[in-house]
Amino acid sequence: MTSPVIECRQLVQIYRVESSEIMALQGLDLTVDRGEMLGIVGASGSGKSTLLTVLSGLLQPTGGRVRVDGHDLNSFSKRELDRYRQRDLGFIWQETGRNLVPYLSAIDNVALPLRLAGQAKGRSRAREILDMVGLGDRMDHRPNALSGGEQQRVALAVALAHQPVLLLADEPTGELDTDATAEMFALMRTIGNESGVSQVIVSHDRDLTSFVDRVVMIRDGRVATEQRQGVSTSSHRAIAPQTTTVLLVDGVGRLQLPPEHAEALGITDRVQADLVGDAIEIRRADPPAKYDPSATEKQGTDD
Amino acid sequence: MIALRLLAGCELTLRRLRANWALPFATLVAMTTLVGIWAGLPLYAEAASKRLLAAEVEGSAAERVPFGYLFSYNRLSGGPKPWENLSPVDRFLFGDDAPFGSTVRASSRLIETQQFQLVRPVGNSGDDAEPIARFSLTSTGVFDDAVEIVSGRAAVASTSSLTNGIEVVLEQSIADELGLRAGERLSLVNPRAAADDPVRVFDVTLTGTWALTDQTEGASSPPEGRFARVPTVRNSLVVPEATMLQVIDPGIADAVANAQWLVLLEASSVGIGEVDRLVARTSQINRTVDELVPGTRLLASPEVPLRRYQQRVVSLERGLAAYSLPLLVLVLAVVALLIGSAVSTRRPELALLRSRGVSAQQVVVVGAFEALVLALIAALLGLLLARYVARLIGTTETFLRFGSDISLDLAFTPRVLQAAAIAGVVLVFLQVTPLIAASRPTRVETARSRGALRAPWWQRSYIDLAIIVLVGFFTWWAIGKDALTGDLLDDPVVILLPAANAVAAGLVVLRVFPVAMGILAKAAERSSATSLLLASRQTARVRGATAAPVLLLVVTGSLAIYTGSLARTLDLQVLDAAHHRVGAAKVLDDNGIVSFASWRIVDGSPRPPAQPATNRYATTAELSRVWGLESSSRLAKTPASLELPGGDTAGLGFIGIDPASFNGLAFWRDDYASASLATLMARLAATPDGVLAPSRVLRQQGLSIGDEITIRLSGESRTSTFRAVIVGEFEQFPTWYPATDLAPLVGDLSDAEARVGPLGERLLLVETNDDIRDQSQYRVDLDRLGVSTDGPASPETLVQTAQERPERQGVFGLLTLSFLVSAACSIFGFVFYAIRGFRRQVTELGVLRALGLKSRGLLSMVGFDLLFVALTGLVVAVGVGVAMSRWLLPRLISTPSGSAPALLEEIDWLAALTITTGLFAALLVVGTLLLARLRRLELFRAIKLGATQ
Repeated sequence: MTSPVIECRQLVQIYRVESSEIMALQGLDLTVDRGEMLGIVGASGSGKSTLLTVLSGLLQPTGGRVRVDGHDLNSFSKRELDRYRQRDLGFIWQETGRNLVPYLSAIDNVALPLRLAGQAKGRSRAREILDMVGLGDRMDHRPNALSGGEQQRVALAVALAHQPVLLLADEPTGELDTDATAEMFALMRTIGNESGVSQVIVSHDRDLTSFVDRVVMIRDGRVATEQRQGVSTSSHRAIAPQTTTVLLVDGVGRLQLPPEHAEALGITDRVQADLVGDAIEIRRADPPAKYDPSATEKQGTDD
Repeated sequence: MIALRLLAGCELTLRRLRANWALPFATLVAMTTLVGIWAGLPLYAEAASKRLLAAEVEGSAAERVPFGYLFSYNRLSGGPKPWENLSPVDRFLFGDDAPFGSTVRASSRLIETQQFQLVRPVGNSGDDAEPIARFSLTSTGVFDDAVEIVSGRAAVASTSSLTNGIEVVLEQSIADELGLRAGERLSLVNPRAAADDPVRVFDVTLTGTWALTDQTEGASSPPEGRFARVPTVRNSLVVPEATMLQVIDPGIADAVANAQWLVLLEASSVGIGEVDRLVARTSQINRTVDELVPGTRLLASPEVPLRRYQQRVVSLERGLAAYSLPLLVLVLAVVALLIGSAVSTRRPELALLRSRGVSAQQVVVVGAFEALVLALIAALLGLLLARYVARLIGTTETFLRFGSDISLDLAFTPRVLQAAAIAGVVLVFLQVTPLIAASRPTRVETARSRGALRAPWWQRSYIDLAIIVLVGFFTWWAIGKDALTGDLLDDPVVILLPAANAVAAGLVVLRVFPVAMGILAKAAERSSATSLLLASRQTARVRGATAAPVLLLVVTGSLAIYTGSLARTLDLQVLDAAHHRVGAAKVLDDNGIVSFASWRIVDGSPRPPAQPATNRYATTAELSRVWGLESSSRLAKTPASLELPGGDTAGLGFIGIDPASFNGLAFWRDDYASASLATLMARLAATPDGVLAPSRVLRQQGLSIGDEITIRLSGESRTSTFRAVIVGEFEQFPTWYPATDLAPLVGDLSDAEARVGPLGERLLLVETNDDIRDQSQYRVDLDRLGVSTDGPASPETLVQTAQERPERQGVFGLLTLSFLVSAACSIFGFVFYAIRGFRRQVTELGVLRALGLKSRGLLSMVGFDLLFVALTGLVVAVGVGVAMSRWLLPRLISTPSGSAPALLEEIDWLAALTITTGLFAALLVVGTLLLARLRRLELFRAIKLGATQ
């Protein structure tokens, strides 16, 4: 069995904004296998983008451990982080205009990181990868002459040109229409299958589920649930056919109940968990009884 | 791999420059300007220095000290010697390996023998002959070029023995005195030779007599002819050099009594950087010469003119450097602003590269390449611009006025190239430094820092307040000192202090401006003026964005007005001083008409009379008939004294004038007296024996207008004591210099002449017809009346002389340049802010438009924003500029004590008008352009564009 490409353990990320602190990641655990295409969903502010930023080495986590391709990112120096991003990592951001250098043509954009990394055949590789993303006939156009979808495909080419082990994409289809989104995800799926690159894609798009191997939902800085392709059993409402949602238990045994379940049972802050055969039954716990001194006295008198 | 990376970086740079050329182009222009000024100053200074050296050398000629070396061997230091003993020095100084380190323009030697007795032809002993005179024989190389043969012919070189005789020439006046004629054969007797010496007596033929040419007598004579002027040669029998070396020296034992070697150097090839080397070489040459022939002395060397030249150049360069400091800092600030803006524009791209794994070092290296390319282009273009800067300074006649001719030899010397190179290095540093900071953040950090609208760091750390306090202290200290009265270059505080004050004022405004805008926003909240509210809120909020343009406007504007005022004040002072000295626009010397009838003819020759002639001076009626003379007014000066109570007297001067005509011709300024000149003249004319008196005399003597005083007046022929009435007072009067002249009473010249006869020093203030075609008739007419047209120098001549001084020219050139650059920077700063501000606001404008604000409202908002900045900058700049001109200027610079006239500060309203007009023109142009842009800008695009800014 090969080692996972990403291993996050108890990741904590705290931002300081003015005088207050925001806990973006609260002990997040995540493992991504080699060649796997993982989707990450979650509400705004749940910590999705922060996780990607940590995985890209652009942000040093406040706590916890993160390993990518067997390397402990926490132990990397700045120079090593630069090298990691240059060799092992590809990245696509949401804003189409921000993935590319505006005054360079598509082919030059793709070739630039390769050439800056000292690769002599950067241009031929760029041509090759642009052909692969279907922009062979648009490679001499500058970003402002390309549509949003085309720009993101160029960004994909830039991210994959140096054959990274991991591709991170933060809302890569955020500015694209439905067709372009589907096209983009399909392209990423195809490339993932062909190149074996591991991919982590953050998206709000519901279509994502049908293209990725697995989708995890992050809530309050932790992975809450997971949906896997091809698992037919579902303990509760499925997001898409052929998928099932499972709750994830972190390293210290914590799990997050789906909000709709908690709401349905009126669970607020306490549950009762009973081991029943090979299952755990979780039910609402009664609130603790109020302290009644007279009752204590009565009990004493009775004794 | 490294080469590939570098190549990729270079390619990226070039592509970016090609794609986004506007900002780099503006930066390049600013950088070229910086290099142009930076290198232009030493270029001008070097060229002006050469002119100074030329002046030194010309001065040297007049003082008979050549720019070169003069060595002398005298028999008193080592006894007479054969030429062979002195020839080592000759070979050392005149040989092919000349040790001088500079181009030798001319060289010449002088050889003088011991003295001989000149006698009429006699027998071999010559003892019985009566000596005519004692002469030495002298030869000098450049003799023929420096003299003219008056009678006979030049001596021909002899190559045979001394016994066959030699040919000589003698100075005309000495020949005349001794009664010797060209062609005469004479004998020379050597009294030191033994009686049986065959050449104890030898024949000489006086082939001609000579005199110095007019040219060699004049101050502008070429120094090569120096030997022809020395007494040694004039009192010698001059022989050709070949005769001396081939006949006299071999024929007579220890023939040479004195020898001199003159080596003249080419001054025009000497740069200031070579002075120390040449001076050091002088000592070395002197030591060598003394070792070769002990007793040989160095009589003259280039050391003195070189040191004087060096001193002037250093002073000139220091002064120019200090004066150029505000200008350079200003241009540097603009360059820094543009570079900062360019780097800021590049941040997203840099962050993208960094996030893709390009290291910070690599980003900096790529940026450094761009910096290098731009700096190199700027340095090359700047050098070309430097020529124009130097020419501009060199042709500056006065503030904002240039002549057409430039007498400067502008050459790119190593020092100029070095200055350009240093400027280039500074520019690379300026470009790379912000890049280092910008290369660190990745996309995440850049996004996080975006939108921070805090006050600039120097405000948060109160550095601005510290600067304001420091400037305040230095201002207080500087105005406590004596105001500058000497050369402007000696005290650059005249420009540095106001520059510092302008910056301090700008910093104060930056503190107050957001507060004022906040108050305005509060006030606007109560009104329905949405655009005004939005604009004032925006301006109050983005402190960092408005800081640069407001500061630039205040500093450049106020500095431009101050430099303009300073220059105009100094200019006016030179003009006024020249007119005050002369007394009017045109003044002639009135020498009077000499009475020839009193001369006598004695023995057929005119002889002066036994008694001095009594001159008569031309009357007004006679002067009115002079061809081309429109009007004239007489002015005369004579000593006088004021008789005080108790028998004491106070020495005074007396200036006699014609009250009727003085008003129209004399130079007069309003600050000369509290009353107008017309009033004073009217009082003089109306009051018999009325006089005007200096206010300070009235104060000292406790007198006042209307008092009677007793004056003792001395004329050319007699004195008179009379009672006079003080009818007016003055602080200053044309031609009166309190430092050197006694305080004068001013009275009617006709009255004074009636009492004491003609007064001594007489001038004629005149106004001529501008179109005098027949100048000769004008001169003849005036000559006939005893008026010299070659009178005192005209004010124009005095002004021109003052204006041509390299120091003044340099200062005024710099002030002009400072003004032009400051004004340009003011307008540029504003336009830059307008464009940047618009780009910054574009998202907000889009959102506001989406919320329903009409196009007109958007335009008003942008317009208000620009107007706030422009008006604040302009009003403060004009206020500060005028305040500095009015308050600081007279405290920093004043006329020397006792000099006249007093310095009057002149506010340069034209500068204020120029800047105001320029700014409002810029406002109009920018407003129109932005309006057009706003109309074209689609709503979604505005928001989208803003999102990607």
